[in-house]
Amino acid sequence: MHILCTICSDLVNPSENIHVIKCGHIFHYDCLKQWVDRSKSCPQCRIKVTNSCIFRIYLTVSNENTEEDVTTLQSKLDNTQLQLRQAHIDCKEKEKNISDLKLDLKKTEDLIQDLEKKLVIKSSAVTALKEQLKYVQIQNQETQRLKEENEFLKNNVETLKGLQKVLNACSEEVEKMLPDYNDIRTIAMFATSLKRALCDSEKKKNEYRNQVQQLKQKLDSEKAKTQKLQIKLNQAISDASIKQQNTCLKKELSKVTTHDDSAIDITIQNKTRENGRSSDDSFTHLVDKIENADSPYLNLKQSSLSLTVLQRRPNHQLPDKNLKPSEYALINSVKASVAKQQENLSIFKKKESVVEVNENSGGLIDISYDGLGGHSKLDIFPVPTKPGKSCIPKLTAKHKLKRPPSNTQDLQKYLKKRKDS
Amino acid sequence: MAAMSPSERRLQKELMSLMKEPPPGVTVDGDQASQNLTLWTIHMEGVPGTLYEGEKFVLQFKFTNKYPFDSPEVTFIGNNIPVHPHVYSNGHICLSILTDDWSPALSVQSVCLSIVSMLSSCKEKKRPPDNSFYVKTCNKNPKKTKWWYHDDSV
Repeated sequence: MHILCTICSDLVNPSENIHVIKCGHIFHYDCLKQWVDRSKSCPQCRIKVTNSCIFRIYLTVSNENTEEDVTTLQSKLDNTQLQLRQAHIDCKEKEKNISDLKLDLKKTEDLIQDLEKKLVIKSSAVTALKEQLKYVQIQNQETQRLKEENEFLKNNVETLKGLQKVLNACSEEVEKMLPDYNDIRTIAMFATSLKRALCDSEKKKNEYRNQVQQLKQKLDSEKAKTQKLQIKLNQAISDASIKQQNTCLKKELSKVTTHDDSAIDITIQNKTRENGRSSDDSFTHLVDKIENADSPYLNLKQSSLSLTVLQRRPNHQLPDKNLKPSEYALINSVKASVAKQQENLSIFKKKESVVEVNENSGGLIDISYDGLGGHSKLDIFPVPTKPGKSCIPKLTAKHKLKRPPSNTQDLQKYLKKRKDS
Repeated sequence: MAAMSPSERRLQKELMSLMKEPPPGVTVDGDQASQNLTLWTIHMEGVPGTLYEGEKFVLQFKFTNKYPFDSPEVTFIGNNIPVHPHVYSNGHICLSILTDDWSPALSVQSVCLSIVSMLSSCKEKKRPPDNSFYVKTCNKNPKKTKWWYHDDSV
């Protein structure tokens, strides 16, 4: 006898808690309870159910009936089939899981390979980056070091600037500046450097003082020397002038003794020179005046003794130095020849020779009256003095050359010195 | 296997019996149902000699873990929803045994027979009079609808 609970569709075993509703339908107590809690009706006939109309029943089943009937077997078969089906489903699920896991594994393996490859690449990259990092670190250290050095140097520069200011600026500025420096060391450094600068300047001052003293001494000695030299110079100048005067005087004395005429001439010239040596025009003017004077005492124009000698002298000063020896000899010969004539023509010379007088008178008064109303010309044999007459200007031109050159030079020197002194 | 809950045990048994002895014109998608015991798909053919002869419908059963004390959620799915005064165009079925008159003694097989009988007894193919309004306003779960079973004749 096999009874089904329609709620759970399982067999009802006599050992289980079985209840029956008053309509006669049998259920497991648990199944019925669950349903009655929801709806108070019989699941099969929908009769109203209350707790009072539900009864427990006890079934007594005979143990003799051991042979398997079809229903029991069917039920067992169903259960087994169900289990088998469930097992198949499980198996399928497991297989699917396995395949999924295999796929996953493969994927994971691939992923691992990829990752390994990537790892290799990355590790090489990492090593490269490490190297770079090392390099960068080294560079960074270097930079840091340089920065520190820079900072240190900046500080140094700052202190040195301050020092410069302290050394150069006035006290007010320094007082303004000092509060900015809190470091005692810097200030101490300023003080020491200032001291040092002070010492240096002290030394320099002493040196300069010594130098000044030395220079003063030198100057004094130089001054003394110059004074001495001055004295000597004065003495020498005076000596020289005395000597020169002596020589000059000696020469003059000798000249005066030897050549009276020339000496007079020279003295006159000297006098004129002393009066106004530079103005030759005034000299010539004086000479002209003398020539053109109306005074009967100075009728020089009419006389053969012309003053042209005096007039022309300064204009015909020949530079002896520039002459060649041949020229010099020629000039000397001319000088010698002319000297004789000059001596005859000069007004400073006594008219000694008659011939000369005749000649001169003949030049001017060449007609003699005989007292009979006629006149006779003095028949004089012509002497070669005529051309000499015409040569007068030439002779006067060479008048200066007549004098000994040494004489004139000495005179000039003497005149110069006199003028200078 | 031993850990199977009473609801699963009963569903498994019902599936076995339905596959073994299905009612005429009713077939269960056993593979899908055994994969997921709480969601069954049942193919149904229009009974010959009725308005739905030659038509094919698909029913969907959803079970909770309180089955059989809780009724299953049964709806028509697919392209062909039968045109019937108790079947809405979204597939919901107005049938008392699916809600108020449910009993744990009922089974998938009995529900299927009830629906086949309901369709077979139809005399005119038409939608319920409040179809458009209901389709717009109803909940997705037909069990949440407070049905007004107006016509017991079909």
